[in-house]
Amino acid sequence: MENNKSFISEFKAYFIIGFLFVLLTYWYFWLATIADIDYVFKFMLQILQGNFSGQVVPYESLSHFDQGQVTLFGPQYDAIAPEVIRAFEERQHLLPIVFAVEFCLFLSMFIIAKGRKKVVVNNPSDTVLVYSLFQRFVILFNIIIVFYLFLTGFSITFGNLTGGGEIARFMRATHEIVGLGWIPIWAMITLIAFKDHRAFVRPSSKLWNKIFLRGKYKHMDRINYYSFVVFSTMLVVSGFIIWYLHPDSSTHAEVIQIKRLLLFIHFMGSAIISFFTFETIYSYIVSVKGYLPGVITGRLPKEYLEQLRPEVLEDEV
Amino acid sequence: MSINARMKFYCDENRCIHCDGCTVACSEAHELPVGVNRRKVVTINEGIQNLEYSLSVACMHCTDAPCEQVCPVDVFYIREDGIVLHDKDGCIGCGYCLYACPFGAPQFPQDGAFGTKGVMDKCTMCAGGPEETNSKEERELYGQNRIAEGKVPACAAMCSTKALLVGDAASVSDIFRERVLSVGHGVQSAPYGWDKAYGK
Repeated sequence: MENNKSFISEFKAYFIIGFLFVLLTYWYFWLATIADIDYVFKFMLQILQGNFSGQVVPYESLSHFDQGQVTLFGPQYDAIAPEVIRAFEERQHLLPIVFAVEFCLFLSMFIIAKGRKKVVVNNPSDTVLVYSLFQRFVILFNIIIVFYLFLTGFSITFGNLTGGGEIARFMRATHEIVGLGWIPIWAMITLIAFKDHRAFVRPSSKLWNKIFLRGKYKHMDRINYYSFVVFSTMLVVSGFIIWYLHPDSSTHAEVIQIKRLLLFIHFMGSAIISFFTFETIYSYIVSVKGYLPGVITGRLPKEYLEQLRPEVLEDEV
Repeated sequence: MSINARMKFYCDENRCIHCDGCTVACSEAHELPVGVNRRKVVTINEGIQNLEYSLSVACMHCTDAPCEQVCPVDVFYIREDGIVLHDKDGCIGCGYCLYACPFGAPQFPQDGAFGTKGVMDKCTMCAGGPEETNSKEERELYGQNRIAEGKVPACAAMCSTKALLVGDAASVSDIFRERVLSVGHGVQSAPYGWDKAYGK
């Protein structure tokens, strides 16, 4: 049996991440918000049944006054909408704390790991092509786009800092367009995330290794990729619908409630994905010296791979 | 108008005939782009006898306006007379006000690249914006400033049945009360709907 060198077994890690996810969801929907959670559940069940209006009880069962309200303004304003107001305040005040906690977490990890992993490279010119041009394009573009989306997304949330105006407006507008452009890159990263899945059959390593990354994922890498997929899917889907589904004066009542719900999902996804973005920055730049130049040029010294990632060398190209 | 006036709209559903005159008057007066409707008319229980009625809706100029609370760049301001206005130069078009508004008042032109939203537009109660009163800039960004000219907002001025009332909340309340009290008094041989609109 292969000796598991990672500090945590795969299933334990899945359990911990899953538990954290449930905890964060609980925190987000129950504690950090005052949304009518019973309504949110009913709404989600109605969505599964194809009713996207937010009207969770039959329209006919309402009083004439309530019917009028629903027709004019959409269903149950009190259930979610005031949350936008509160979420705005909460995010302005809580997110810096969340980021500070995450920073401390990675700082502790750095201290426990006794600083950066260092590799003894005597022959730096002896390199191996690890990342194809396509892979580099996808990975680096993904990092750049996510960074830009973070920057522009938080320029909206922390609007009091930017003060509004043309630059902030441009950033907000490009948040939508760049988000749209992210979809193909996100789709490729999603495919890459599942390269180690047991159901993923590779008919030809030469071909597949040009599309997917060489080597095998370590457990935490795999979890990081899977989590990225989960939360980025949340962000992409909710973001796209929010952008696409724009009510005018005649359709407002029908679509505003689903937009409100999706905005919360978008908020939640962006808050939680920040942990995995920190993790990516940590693993690319901080934890190991010399990894980022390798991703940029596509080549890593052979000695580097022998010492840190021998399975990449074993993988046929 | 008293010092503590709170300017309000009120639509008398017994009088509104869904002619859309208010919507057209507003769009025409402020030269609004296609797709932006500061005011809309909605008919409820359409086709159901005795239950059908119409209402003209726009920004209600809330006393505790949620749009003002939610705006991340603080472009909203509430005038002393209670009219809720915003500064279009600062607006980033994020749409938070749209999520927070119970009435669907904020409007966004989708005239950017790939249909991205522009800055928010909403009913100003014909009171313009933060620019110099009746200046060219104010006219271009916010439309007419009829309040500064001592005029009634275009929608209410246009309303043929006088269903749409506007003014100091106390005055609007007095007019409506008078109307309610006058129901059942007046002409006897009136056309259909006359009794509801003007009293017997």
